[in-house]
Amino acid sequence: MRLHAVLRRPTFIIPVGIVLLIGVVWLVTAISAAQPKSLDERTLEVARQIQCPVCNGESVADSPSLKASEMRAVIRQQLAEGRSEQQVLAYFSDVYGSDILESPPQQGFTSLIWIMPVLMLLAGIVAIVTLAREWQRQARVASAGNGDGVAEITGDVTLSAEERQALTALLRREVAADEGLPLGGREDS
Amino acid sequence: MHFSDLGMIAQMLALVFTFYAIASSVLGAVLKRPALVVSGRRSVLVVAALLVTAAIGLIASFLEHDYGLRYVAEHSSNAMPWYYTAAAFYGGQEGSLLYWGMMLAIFSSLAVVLYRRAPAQLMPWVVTVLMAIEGFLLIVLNFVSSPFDRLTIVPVDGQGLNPLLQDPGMLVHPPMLLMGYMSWSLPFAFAIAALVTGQLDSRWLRAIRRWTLAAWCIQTTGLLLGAWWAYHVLGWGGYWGWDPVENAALLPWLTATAFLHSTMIQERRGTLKVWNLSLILLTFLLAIFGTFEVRSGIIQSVHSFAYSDIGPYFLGFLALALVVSIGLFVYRLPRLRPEHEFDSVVSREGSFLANNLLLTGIAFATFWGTIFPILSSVVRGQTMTVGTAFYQQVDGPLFLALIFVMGVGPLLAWRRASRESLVRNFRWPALVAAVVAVALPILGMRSLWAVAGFAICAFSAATIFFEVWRGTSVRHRHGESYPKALSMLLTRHRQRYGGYLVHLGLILLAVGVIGSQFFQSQRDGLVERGQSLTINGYTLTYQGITDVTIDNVETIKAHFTVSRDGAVIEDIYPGERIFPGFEDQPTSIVSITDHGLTDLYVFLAGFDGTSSATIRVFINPLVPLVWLGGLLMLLGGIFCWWPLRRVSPGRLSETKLPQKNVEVAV
Repeated sequence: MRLHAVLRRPTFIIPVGIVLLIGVVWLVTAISAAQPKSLDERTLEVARQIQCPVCNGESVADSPSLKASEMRAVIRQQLAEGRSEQQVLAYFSDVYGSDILESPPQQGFTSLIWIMPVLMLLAGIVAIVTLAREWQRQARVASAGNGDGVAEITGDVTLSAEERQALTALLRREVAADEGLPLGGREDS
Repeated sequence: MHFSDLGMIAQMLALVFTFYAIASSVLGAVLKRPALVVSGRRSVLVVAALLVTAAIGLIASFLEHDYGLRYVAEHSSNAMPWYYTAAAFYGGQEGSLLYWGMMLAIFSSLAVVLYRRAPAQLMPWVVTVLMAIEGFLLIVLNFVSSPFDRLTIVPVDGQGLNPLLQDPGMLVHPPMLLMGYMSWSLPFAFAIAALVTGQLDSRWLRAIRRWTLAAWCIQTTGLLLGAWWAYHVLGWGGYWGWDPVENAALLPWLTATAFLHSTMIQERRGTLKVWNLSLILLTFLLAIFGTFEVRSGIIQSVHSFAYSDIGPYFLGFLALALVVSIGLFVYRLPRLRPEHEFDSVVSREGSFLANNLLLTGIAFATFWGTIFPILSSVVRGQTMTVGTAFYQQVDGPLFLALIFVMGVGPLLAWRRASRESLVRNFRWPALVAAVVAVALPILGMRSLWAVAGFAICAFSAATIFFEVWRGTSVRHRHGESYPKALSMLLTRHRQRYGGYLVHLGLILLAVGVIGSQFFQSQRDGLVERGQSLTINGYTLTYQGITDVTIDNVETIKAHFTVSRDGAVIEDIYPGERIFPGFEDQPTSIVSITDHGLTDLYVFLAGFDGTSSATIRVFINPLVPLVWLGGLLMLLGGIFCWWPLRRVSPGRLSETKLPQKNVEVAV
């Protein structure tokens, strides 16, 4: 219950503290994760980026064919000899042509493949925000104009304590009837 | 007289009745002659009966091995067991078209019977649209690609069925997927009918609500079965390869899911009419696009066995449907004004908009990646492939965002959420997510993407459990025991809690995907007899190989013992099957065994007599959760769909509420 009370207090200490804690832990992880990956992991990573030349739409990592298996062995050997991932990829691209690389290069015409989805997403966000604004504006105009058959509320609309209680009781009964619940449950908020 | 003659006649007559149904429905609607409309509806039933007859004719031809029929000769052989022989009915293009036509006719009949009370003006147009689609299929079936063509020289035996298709998963996956595609015809027909008649309020939406849920369930099943089949048969250690054909099946599912959500806004708030119409039109068009893509072979794919020459017909039909949809849409645009306004972005409506943005965003990115190779070869004359890396990098974060919104959305109030309610609803789930985000790295997880993914999944799952707990405890305070409160809560709000089940399923699935994406290990190895290969603490020792031929099917199984910490824990038998007539296309028997929530996945890549074997071993963590989550999604969908027994308000007040308590205190 005391934790409850603390969390209810209009304070930012706890959320800010938690976010900071996560930040610190993640930073430490990111720094310690910089340790080298295993040869298996690196081989798989490179193999995923190369298209299997004898299959339809499968990568060298995925294809069960013998050719892909040989290519994986080559990747593994080259990495073991100390070449970088980029050098191995460049080797395959030289031997088989640039088509063989799975990941489209991020330049020239092919960069469109990366840019378009981002652009569309941004356009979607802009459209939603604009629409929401427009709808809100219309809503304000409509309520100010006393139109649409909605009665205009004038004077004091604050409920007295009794009125509020009566309204709550009524609401609770209606919901209970709706839900098929027995009435007369404990009072709670 | 052959069974195939019966089938051919039925197929031809079905086309005639289809045209009659269209003509009679249109005339009946335009001239306001109810008799003609009724006649149009009845002929839909006739079309269905005729196409069922045609399908029976084809199956009978298969079962009596009538090799005079080209289609039977090309897709079955004497050696096949009877169930694959019967299932070969939809194993090729002509048969699957017939299956498609039949299912559409059955669905149309169902619609005609179920929607007798739907807005009367809509129905003739619904029938017209459905029969127009049927007409297109039947024209292709009768004149371009008929399963009932006969050969002049009758072969002694058939060529057999593609061995990849001779698998229990394959028995169910294609018909489910095709059925899923087809079931979107009805919502499409209702949308077009609403546009034609100008009856653009929410009635057409309400009429098809449960149908769209059923269609969603069917399509989800089709996708899951496809993934399951790929995992168990293809031997590459994964279940989803972002293959163009898989993408094509995913696209309508994404837009349909967006539609299921955004219709809730229209039903509640009267907004987003234009958007809902576009989504449902788009879903159907994408389903047709998927078929076109598979059949035309325009993009390289592992489904290449389905290539054929009917692609252009589907392209033409797609173009026609697109033009009609857009034309009607533009024509009716002035009438598509919202009935209510929008209050705040921080509200249930706002979260649905975010959901729709993300789902259509994923759909667009996937579509873009799928068609980009065509674009590239047209614009630059350069072929290229878009591999899994693109989809993982673009769709992955979007899916994560979707799961986050999924956690937030259901707990926001309609119209406008207050700050207090935000804090009240989200502090515990946020705390759970924070604990996960801190604990996983401390426990040694190195990939922060995976940690973030798991934390978001934990957050969304926590919101669902929190919400269920809250509802249950409120009922409990009103005097119900906890189990009763829970079951009453679930059954009284099927749509809502069914939706939560689906969400929970998707979260489980996402956890499985993250686990297998980030923590998969793989190893290839050539092992001599008695030698072993070790991966992640599992030691596989090669014991030898067996070769058995039963019913002309040769089954080769390699025997490995798996040991862990020095103790043998199991024997596994990865292998392959060789079907008669397809000696160069062995199908693999992948050995998948479950260790906790981790799959040990072993594929026999090759062997040299009994002396050595080449295997690929994968350690796939959390993959069982993918299937569990998928199953849960399906159950949730069915739970939503399940017919609701309504208690009439009068009876309710008599039986459940003592009269004295009902008096109102104002």
